[in-house]
Amino acid sequence: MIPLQELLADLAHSLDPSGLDPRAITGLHVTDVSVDLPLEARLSPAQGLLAFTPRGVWATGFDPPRGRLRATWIRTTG
Amino acid sequence: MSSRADPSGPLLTLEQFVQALTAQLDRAQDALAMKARTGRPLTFALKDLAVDLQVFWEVGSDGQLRIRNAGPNESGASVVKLSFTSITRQMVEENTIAFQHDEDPRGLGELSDSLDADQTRRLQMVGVRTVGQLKKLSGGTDPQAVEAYLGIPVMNLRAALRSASRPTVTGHAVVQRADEPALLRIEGANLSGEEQPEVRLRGEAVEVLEAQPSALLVRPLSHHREGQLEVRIGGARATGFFYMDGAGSTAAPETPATRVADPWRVAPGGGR
Repeated sequence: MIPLQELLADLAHSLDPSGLDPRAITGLHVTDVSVDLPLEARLSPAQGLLAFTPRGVWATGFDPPRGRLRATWIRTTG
Repeated sequence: MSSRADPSGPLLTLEQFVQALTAQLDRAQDALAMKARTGRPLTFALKDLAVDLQVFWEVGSDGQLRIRNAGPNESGASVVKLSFTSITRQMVEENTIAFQHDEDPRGLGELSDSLDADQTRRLQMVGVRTVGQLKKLSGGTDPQAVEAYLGIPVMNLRAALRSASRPTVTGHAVVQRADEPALLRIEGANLSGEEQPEVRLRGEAVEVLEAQPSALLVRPLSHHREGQLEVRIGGARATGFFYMDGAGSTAAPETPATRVADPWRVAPGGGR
C-alpha cells in the first residue's frame, strides 16, 4: 500500500492531457474526469491513510474489506 | 469498547485521521501544481474526493472515540463516508479562528492545577482550546451556566480563571537592532494590564520600553548576561531566567530578533 496522495498522483498522471494542444480552437477537450474505484485502505499514525486498488476482482480471505474511492479532477491551465 | 491492541490496525481519533487525510490531499494538490510549473500548459486539479472506509469504532478509557480499519475476515464494520471538496483561501480564512488575535494562546493544559483532563476535554469539545478563549467564554457567560451545560464546577472554573489571569513568563528573545545595545523581549501572558509592569534582571530594575499582555521589551544594563528575571504587575509576580547569547555588541546589524534557547529547560530526552 502507498500513501493516498501518491495513489491520487498516479491516477492523475494516467489522465495526463499533455498530448492536447491548448491553442487548438476546435477539437475535443477533456474538462473533467471522475473515477469510482474499489479501494483497499489501512490507517497509519505516521502516514495517514495508506491505500491501493485491489489486486484482483476476487477478494480472498486475506484481503481487508474493500472501501471505495471517488475522485473528480478538473482541467486547469498552468 | 476495548483498548486491546488489534492486529488489523492502529487506533486513531477521527480528528487525527481527518487532519492527516487533509494534509495528504494538500500534498496531492501540491504535486499537481508542481507539474503545472514544469511547463505543462494543461494539468488537472483535484476538485472533489470521496472515500468510503470500512472501520470499527472504539471508545477508550479516556472517553475518546477512535477508529481502526477493519481487518481481513472481520464482518460488521461501519462504513465511514468522507467527502472533500476544494475551497478557496478566502473560505478557509473566513472559517478559521484568527490565532494572532487570541490574547492568550496558551493551551488549556497550562491550567492543569485547576482543570483536570476530563474538564479540559469538555471545554475542547465546545471549541475552547486556549486560555484566551476560556477568558472570552467567561466574559460573556455566567459560570453557573457553564456548570449546567458542561458539568464543570463553578469553583474549578473560577480557580482556572484566577490561574489564567496570573502573569506568566514562557520565554525570552534577544532583540538586536543596528547600532544599539541588545534589548530583551520577555514573552508570556498577562504581562501588562491597567498597571505598569516592573521588571528586574538579577534583582536590578530595568527600563520597560514596550508593554503588551503577551510580551515586554526591556533594556538590560550593560553587565546583564544571564540570571533570574522577575516581572511584577499589581500584586502578582512571575519569574524566569534570561540568557543574552552573544549580545552586548552594537555591531550586529540586520538581525531583528534572535531567539535564545532557554539553557535551564531540559529537553524531553534529557539535558546535558
